[in-house]
Amino acid sequence: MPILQFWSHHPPMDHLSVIIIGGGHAGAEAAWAASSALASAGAHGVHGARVLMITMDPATVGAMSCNPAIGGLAKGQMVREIDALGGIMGRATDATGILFRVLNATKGAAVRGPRAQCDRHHYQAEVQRLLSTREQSEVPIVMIQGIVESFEVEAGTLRAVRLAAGAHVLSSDEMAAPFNATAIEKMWQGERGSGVAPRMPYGAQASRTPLALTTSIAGVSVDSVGRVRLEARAVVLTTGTFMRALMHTGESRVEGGRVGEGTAVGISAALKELGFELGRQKTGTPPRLRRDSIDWESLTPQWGDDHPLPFSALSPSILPSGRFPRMPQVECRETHTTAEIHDLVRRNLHRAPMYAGAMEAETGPRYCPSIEDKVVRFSQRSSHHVFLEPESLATDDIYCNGISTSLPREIQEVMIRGIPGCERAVAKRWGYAVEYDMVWPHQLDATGETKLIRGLFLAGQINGTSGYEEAASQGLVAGLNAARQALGFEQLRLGRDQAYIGVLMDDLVTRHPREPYRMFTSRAEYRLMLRADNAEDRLTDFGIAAGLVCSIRAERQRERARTLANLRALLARTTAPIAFGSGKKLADVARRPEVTAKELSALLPHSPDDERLVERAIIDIRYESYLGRQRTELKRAAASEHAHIPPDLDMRSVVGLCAEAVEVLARFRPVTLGQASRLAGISPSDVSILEVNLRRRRKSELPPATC
Amino acid sequence: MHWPAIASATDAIVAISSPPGVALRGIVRVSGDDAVRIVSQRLAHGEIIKRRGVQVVRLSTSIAGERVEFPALALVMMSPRSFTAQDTVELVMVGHQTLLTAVVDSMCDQSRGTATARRATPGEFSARAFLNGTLDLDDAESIALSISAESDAQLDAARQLRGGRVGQLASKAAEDVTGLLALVEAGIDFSDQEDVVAIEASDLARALATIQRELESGIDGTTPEESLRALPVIALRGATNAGKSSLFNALLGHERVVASPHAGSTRDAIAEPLKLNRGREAMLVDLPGIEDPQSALAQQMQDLAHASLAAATIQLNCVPVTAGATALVGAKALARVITVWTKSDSADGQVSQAAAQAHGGVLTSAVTGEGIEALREALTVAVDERGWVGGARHAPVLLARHRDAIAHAQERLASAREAAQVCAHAGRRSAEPAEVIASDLRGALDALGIVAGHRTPDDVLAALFARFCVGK
Repeated sequence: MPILQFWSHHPPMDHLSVIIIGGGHAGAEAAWAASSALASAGAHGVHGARVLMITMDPATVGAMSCNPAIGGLAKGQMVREIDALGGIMGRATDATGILFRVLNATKGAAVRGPRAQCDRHHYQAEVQRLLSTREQSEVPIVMIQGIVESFEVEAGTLRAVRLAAGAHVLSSDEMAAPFNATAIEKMWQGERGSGVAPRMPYGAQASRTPLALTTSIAGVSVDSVGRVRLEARAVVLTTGTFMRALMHTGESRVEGGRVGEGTAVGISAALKELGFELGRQKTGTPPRLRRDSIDWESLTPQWGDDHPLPFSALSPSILPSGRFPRMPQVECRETHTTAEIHDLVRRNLHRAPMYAGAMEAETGPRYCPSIEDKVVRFSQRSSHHVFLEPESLATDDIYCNGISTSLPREIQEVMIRGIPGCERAVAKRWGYAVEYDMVWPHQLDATGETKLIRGLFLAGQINGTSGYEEAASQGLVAGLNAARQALGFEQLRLGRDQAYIGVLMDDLVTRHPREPYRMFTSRAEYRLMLRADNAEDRLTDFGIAAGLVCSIRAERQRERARTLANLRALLARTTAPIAFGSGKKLADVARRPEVTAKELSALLPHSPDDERLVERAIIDIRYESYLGRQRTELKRAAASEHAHIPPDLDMRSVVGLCAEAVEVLARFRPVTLGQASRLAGISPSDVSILEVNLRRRRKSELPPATC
Repeated sequence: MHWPAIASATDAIVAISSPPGVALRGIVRVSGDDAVRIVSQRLAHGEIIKRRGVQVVRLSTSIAGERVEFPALALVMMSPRSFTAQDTVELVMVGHQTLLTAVVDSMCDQSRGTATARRATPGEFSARAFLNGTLDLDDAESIALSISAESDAQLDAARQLRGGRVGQLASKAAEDVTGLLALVEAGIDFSDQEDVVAIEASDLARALATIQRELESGIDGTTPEESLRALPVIALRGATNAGKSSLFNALLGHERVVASPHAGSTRDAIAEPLKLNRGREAMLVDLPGIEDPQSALAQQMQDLAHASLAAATIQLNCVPVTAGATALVGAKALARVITVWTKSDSADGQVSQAAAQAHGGVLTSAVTGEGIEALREALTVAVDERGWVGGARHAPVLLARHRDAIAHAQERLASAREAAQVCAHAGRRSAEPAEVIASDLRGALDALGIVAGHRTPDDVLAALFARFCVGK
């Protein structure tokens, strides 16, 4: 009987767990997306599902390891996309931003990148608060403190995760959130730098229950020494910089992925055992200084925008304080390195781990060079900018943007004191380099799932990327698809023409990265389409269909789409004043580069409340000829872009493929023809040959007509 | 932007679809969206093609700068009732290679109409037919193999061409565009960085003008190279009954079917690819005796045929041994002439092998096979002497595609330059809107990549990182 067969293959629905390992930007977004997607499946009769987030230290969930800034060029578009898909990064940024600025504000709309510096402690607390709001929801996010030891795989499918003894389930500290609000109110009244970071919802005050004693989670079993086995339909692994992590400062080496934290050793070994090909990457961070030790007033200030714009379509109306920006705003200061500092660095290069050959990882990112790299690669320069950026209103840490270094502490100290304005500066934390294990991302599909183990998803720095936004984007995609995998739904991929997130996922699975991958707008061939201003118009419908988007957001988007359509019709229909030329429509006026949204709004018989919608319509009109060309290109490739290549297809058996093509295809194992066409070494003819062979296979697989 | 030749696409493609060398009738096939409109826009006197059936049309095209009009039979098959299951027009016309090539060129030429086709990639028609279900399952393997073989040969030819003048020209242009694009991108992606100064609009416009000029002057001079790199032509000459047709068949190793009930067929040149030794190939052309042309069109066709004979690199002067030594009349200085004594089996032959060698030339008999291998070797040596280029058979179609690509690149470069000039005139310091200029430069780079090898966004970033210290 079919029903019985079903139960014998799948545990009952109330056992359905999706596990997220790690609580950084990838993990947080993955947990949120998985919980949303599972909850929306309630409409399909699925009940009793849950998301388990496992992390070594829940108090650090949502931590900003490096520069506490979100967004920027290309990255700002990604945050808007995450928001349009119902994610949390934009909301947390809006709630905790202390300096908002749109980069490239004077340039074309497609390349404007909103950026915000956040209060690092409040950001972290806000991410935890958002996750804790789902503690009691229909599909709860359950916070577990524990150490993952291994994965249980059966016939190529992930079945369970095993934890070391001593794992606990946490309930959030209810006092943490109100404390935030009060503290923020005090800050607006001018009280700053208390030196006390906000209380974390999953900090020391959160209540803990041993996981082994928990009865509310199904699929848990415990062995005699307290080790726990957790059944899971799908797992998203987000190890960040923590897999076999090693921090370097000069000759000193400390195991750990972040100062004061540990390293995950077991996971590397477990992945290797499962057959994954691992690599090693490095990144670095600059020292942090005490604000009161800097001659702050002597330095050139840098301000944020006068009228900051929020990232999230839901802000500011749902911000707890009801205003935007929610936090008081700060300014940065600008200074620079000197020839003497460069000399010092040059003389001590042999003590920098990267140059002393002390690191396994071969290359650091070219776009984020350490001061050592800058001095070596651009030896003709005698000065580089240094931006001093406040990290928090609660504490007085200053981030030294521009001098990422792993030189020994005593050298760092001399270097810092050589910077104008920092002659008496005191370091609160030293710069360091960190190297860590990663999984070469060609072993993934653009859904985030590994090709090797069904149900195992990877997201974030483990895939060789860098940056909070890149991590969060992958987390969202992997969390969504992990939930869909658990439910037995079809996996979803975002196209290169739909989102930077799509470009990111596609690049990861079709390229071999030579350095940690960071998004740039130039990576997107459909850059003119992928803008910050149209993120919700591109993606929210997708989010609604995937169950990622809450009803408030969905309703707003429907309203927005109606308004925009009316506005476009109005522009095309309304005749412009004769001063603009006879017979001209407002749409023609919009094409003129000097015409602003405000001016155009004034010409409309009735304009929408939000002037940004007029701006939005103008942008489309100005890019129209280019967008049209791109749409034609897209149409041409659309047919085969999503054509599926079966995972069991032996490339050697494909008639007509040359040896080179077979080798590349066998290594990357593209999942769609679109992916295959973008692999280096694959010619258009190879794609045609593959397509013809696939079709034959599909035809010959059809069951005989008479049977 | 990528240029994937995805077989299941529906954009219009065009190719000569009659086998090479069949001279009686040639076929040009256009298939895909807009096929009917594309052909209609290339008819003389504003003729409009009907959307079904067979009709006589007058095609208008240009050959070597001269406007030529000539009749063709148009077979219009609308989707799904065609070979590819897409809208298809087959144009049946006189089977001269030059003419067929000119027709294909005009289909791709944007100056000839708003609708254009692109040249089909190897096996693309068959692949479409298969994917759209009009070819059988059994054919899949042979289609894949033929795509594979064609594309291997073209890849080989492309590698050769890359070292050629067009290839070098495109490589140089691609390198220059990569450098400029890196500057423009730096102004976009790293505008917040310390030492990144976006390129000034006027400098950009000037640099683009230089690239355009170099491409233009380079391309102008490429025609000789094309004919040089095309398959060498071996033409048979000689009086009627000199044994040319027998020699033609003997060299090919099979009977070439030339008989046709259609009037006019014998006036066309007959050509077949000829396999020589050591992998060399040539086009063997048999030009029957010249008769009085009955129409202007026939005259034109004959002129073309003679032009191709004149361009032949090797001429075989066929003289029956019975006729005795005769001087070849009208041989062009450029051509290498080999005298072939035919019918050596004739009982009353006046020329012995030794004598033939004394006069220069090869003694042959199509009946006994005498001297055929010696002639083949002589032809192989002659082909080598004029500089053999491997994969040359594929060079013409590749060169045509390369010309299209360079024309497309020029178009995008012009658009970028125009935008840069507008900025410069407006007195703006940096090139705005930079992202639009970058879009054109990226398009130009992709087009040049068809000739010079693809440049990825990573290549542009590498050029950028090498130049600027970016990263805080």
